[in-house]
Amino acid sequence: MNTSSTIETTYDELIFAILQDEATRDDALKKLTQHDTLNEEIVACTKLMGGTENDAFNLMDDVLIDLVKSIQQLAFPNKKILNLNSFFDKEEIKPAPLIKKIRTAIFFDKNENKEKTIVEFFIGKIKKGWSDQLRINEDLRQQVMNFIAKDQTDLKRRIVGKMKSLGHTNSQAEDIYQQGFIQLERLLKGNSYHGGDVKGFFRSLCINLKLNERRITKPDLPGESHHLDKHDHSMELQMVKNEQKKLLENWLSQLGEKCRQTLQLWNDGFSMKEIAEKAGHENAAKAALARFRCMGKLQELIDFQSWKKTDLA
Amino acid sequence: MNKEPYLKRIESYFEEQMSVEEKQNFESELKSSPELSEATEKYKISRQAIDLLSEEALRSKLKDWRKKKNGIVTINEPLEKPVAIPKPATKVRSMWSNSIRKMAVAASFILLATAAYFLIDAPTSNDPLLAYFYAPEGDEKLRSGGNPDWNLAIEEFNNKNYKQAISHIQEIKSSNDVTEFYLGQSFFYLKDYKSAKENYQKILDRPGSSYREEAGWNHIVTSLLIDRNDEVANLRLDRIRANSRESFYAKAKELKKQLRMEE
Repeated sequence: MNTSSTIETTYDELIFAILQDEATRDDALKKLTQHDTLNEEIVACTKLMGGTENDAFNLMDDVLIDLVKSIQQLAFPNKKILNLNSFFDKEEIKPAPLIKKIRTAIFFDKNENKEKTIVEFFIGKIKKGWSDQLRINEDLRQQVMNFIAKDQTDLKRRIVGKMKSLGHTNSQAEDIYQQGFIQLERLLKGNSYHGGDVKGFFRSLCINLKLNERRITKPDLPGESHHLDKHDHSMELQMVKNEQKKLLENWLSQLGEKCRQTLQLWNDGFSMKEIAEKAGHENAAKAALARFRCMGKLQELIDFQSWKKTDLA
Repeated sequence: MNKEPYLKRIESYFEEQMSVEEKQNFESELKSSPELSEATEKYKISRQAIDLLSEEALRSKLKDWRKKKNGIVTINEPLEKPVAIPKPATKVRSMWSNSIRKMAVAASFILLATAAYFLIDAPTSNDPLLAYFYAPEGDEKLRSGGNPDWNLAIEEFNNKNYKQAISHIQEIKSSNDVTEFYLGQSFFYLKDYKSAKENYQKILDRPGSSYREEAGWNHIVTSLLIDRNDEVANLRLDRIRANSRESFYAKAKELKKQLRMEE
């Protein structure tokens, strides 16, 4: 695997850039989206997990947005409202200890006792993002099942060959292979798959099905005993987030386009004069008034009871 | 309830524009007034909503930068679509593909599909060279389901009655990537490359399809059948040829070689 030496952005520079201003942040993010090595690694990893190139880039965008948010949360822990455009004040000196703290919190791997390379960081996040999505998205699971079902030459030959080497007949080996398929979706939905080569995961599953055939309904996976019954809070949290996102999108859709643009520009830190020019208000004062009214309208659209229900979900 | 005074105060509080005394008063009132408390909660939610707008704007920038880097909109990416998670399976798809048991049974037939890949009759076209490179459908996708039109469609398709297959598929009310793929294949065998290409394009416009790679490849081949000099198809072909991880890498290399020999 390639290391960070091929990426011309150090972590310190990246953290500074994300906290500096919109143009500097965008330049840094643009470098990452256009980096061949990083893109190739991410696409290759996603394809091994049964995803497409499109899935890979969507996952990468999720990671980039989360990275921006995480850095801002660590930089401004006391700020009451944070958004994607929370930056240092221009005059403020950027304290080196703070940057170091952020760098350690985000990029240091405690288990390995070393800092992750940028590729390792992205690959780790993408694996987690993909396995989280597989848990809650039936269509994606189906995509992965099809990905495995299509590989009938090399994969099946290896699995059947392994079974035969363990002393099984051809028909027993075929039976185990098909049992593996039946188990696979349940495991993708559960807490057993954590990203990585999904065909390798399927091979291990088939082999472990045999080894655990006395309790074939709950096979152990290598090094992951009894994970299936473990309560998965991250999945619940993701489901709540998805529900909340749907509600927010619904309320936003009821605002006019001009209102949405005005609020977004305000949130992105543009001056009222700039907002007036970009969103087509007569002048800065009218833009300010429109912004305030749009905010009021949005608050009226919010159904507090529906929101509270998602919190309890 | 007139909410405007609340909104102004709440904004001042969150934007750190209150004096110490005002802030203390606000926080004390927050504890005693359910109305102010609810309005404050709503304000926090509305800020989350607005941040979602900023997030979508940033997401759109990320996609634009990647597009510009690639120089073209790549075949696999409907880049302007912001949602990572594919749409839920439609009814027709779920009829035959949601059952894992069926897939397990289907799996045992796939060796046949591999053989079929090599043995399938290449469509006789005016362009046998390109037709050879076409990605045929696999047997695992030809299981019947609960929809009578689909069952008739696959029967006709298997019997190479492509016009009838098209007619039955078009009777199915909810189209999805499976119906579109088989429509594309049927049109291809009938040498209606334009309609075939349109159906593959629909699949490419839908994120998360399991037919994406085949549809993407066949989209290139049909485009080249229509016009050998199709610039986008040639660029896409070069792109696959340049990446050994692509499923159609070997085919793309061979096709390019053959096309060069033709010139």
